[in-house]
Amino acid sequence: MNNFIAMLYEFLFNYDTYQTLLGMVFDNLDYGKMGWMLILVPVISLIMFYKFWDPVKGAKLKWYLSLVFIIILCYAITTGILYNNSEILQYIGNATGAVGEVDADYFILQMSIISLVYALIISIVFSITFFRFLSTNNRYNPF
Amino acid sequence: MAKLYVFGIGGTGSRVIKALTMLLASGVKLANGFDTVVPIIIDPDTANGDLNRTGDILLKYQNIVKEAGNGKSFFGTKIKTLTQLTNEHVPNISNNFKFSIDGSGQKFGDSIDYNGLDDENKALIDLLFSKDNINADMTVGFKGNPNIGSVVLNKIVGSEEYKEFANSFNLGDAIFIISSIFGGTGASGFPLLLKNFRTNDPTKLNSNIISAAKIGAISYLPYFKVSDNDGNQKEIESATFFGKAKAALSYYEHAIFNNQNSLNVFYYIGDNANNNMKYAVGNAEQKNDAHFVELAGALAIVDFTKDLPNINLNNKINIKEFGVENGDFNLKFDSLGQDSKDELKVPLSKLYLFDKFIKKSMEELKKSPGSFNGDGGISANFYISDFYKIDFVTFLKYFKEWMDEMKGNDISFAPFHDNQTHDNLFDFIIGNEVSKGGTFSKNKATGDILIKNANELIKVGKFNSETEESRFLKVFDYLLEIQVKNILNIK
Repeated sequence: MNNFIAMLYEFLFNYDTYQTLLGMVFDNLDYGKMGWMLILVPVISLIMFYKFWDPVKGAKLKWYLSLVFIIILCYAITTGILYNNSEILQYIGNATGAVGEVDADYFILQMSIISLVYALIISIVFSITFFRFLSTNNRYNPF
Repeated sequence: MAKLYVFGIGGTGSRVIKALTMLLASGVKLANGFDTVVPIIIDPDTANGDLNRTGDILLKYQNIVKEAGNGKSFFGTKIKTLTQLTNEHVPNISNNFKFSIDGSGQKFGDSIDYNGLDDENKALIDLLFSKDNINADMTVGFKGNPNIGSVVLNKIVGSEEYKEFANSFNLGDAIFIISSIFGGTGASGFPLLLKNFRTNDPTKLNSNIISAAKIGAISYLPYFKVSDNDGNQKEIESATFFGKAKAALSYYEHAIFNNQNSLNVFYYIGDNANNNMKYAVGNAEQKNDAHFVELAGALAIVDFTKDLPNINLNNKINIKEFGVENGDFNLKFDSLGQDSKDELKVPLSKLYLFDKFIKKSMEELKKSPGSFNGDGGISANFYISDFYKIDFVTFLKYFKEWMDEMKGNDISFAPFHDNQTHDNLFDFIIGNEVSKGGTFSKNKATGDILIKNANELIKVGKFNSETEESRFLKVFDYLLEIQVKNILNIK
């Protein structure tokens, strides 16, 4: 899991610039945690939406709200995971602010935004391909 | 399965047939295996507004049954014309609900060839009919003159429609006659029709079966007045209604009631006639608002079919009257007797709620991404089909108009609120409030409940084998029955 998810994130960065921080994430197995998060948060949230909530009124709007909830949660969890990485915390503590030094906070922000985008894509794909069939009132939501 | 031939004579006859159609549409069933009603309207005033409105309602009902089929409560009883009974392939033609009356479209004098009579016969006619009678234009009916009607209506046995009626009549079928006693067409038509039915004429087809058939009838005592503010003398005067009713009853007593084999069940109904109908001598202008007594008359027809097994042709006439539990002028369900309540409460509430759902919640349902709008449910094309737009929605419009007219009349029958929205849809029966929820409680009155249940029914494929039209009606038939019984606390 760690290897596979690492691939999905790392190709979006300039490896030479972010090599140190990416290595810290990899070594702490944070990619694995983020991978499980990207599966579990949409799955649990979509089951809640399609099976238990299954709203009748304003269903489309409520589906959009559910997606917003999922992506914000994934963003927050990613931020949480990375700020709990002791190596990254140490890196932040040792940062001098010198020109050319990589900003770890900005790195975490980028990683969280990537999680947000993946969570959005996964949620839409899961909704269309599987979870809507659990529903009675949202069988054709989003379409 | 047996047929019930319902003869509606005059404007009142048309309006009672309309009320019966509304009851059948809502799911009221005739008893003892009567699965087909054959309404026959006898009215010389062919342009009569009441008659044409009833004709259109019957046609819409037929079209709905034709597309959606039977096997449900809504529209669950077949309504057929005489022509359809004798030839199943004949398309629906509203005119076929009407009996043509030979000679009714002219002056009375012309219809009896008054000018061609010799002096002796002219003198006899002058003795029986006034100059006004002889010059009366019958295009708009007999205008409260039963003496004219009795001559003209006697010709109906020779009509093509009567032959079709006799031809289609089978053993076990029954007849019900609706008439008013205080006008012209009904008062004269009822005894004539009865006499013709009971005469066993071997030269006429099925006459032996018809003459022995079980026959019920309802006669309306005055229940409205006609008024106009221009002060001119009118051809129809409310002041004569009670006098005419008494004279007709006196005639019925010896011609019908004292004759053991004339009629099996006879229903009387009337009201204290406080309500005023706008004066109209006939034609399209005669379009009186629906009145509760017409609904009660339709209930009499249902009651007649229940009573049939107890009728022995040698019994005396069973005479019945209709009454309400309390004398309030604003009737609700609770004002009615137990039998009427049992008969009306669920079906009328179901159809009323269906109408409200179509108006207040249908857009929500159409927008819903639920199973109802997908495969095995109802497609978007359904809502632009003739069945939905032209027949079903128009029928509901007639139903609502009928309910509103009864509400506005004196006495008023208004068992429902009329201020529903999608969010308080189920809170519609007066006296059976439904919680609309609050901060910590659930809204039990919202139309969302019906939408959710409709989605569930389609998802489990309960009506997969039905056509779209039939599925649409059956889904709501099933769901509204449950909801209405919940609201009324009926197990």
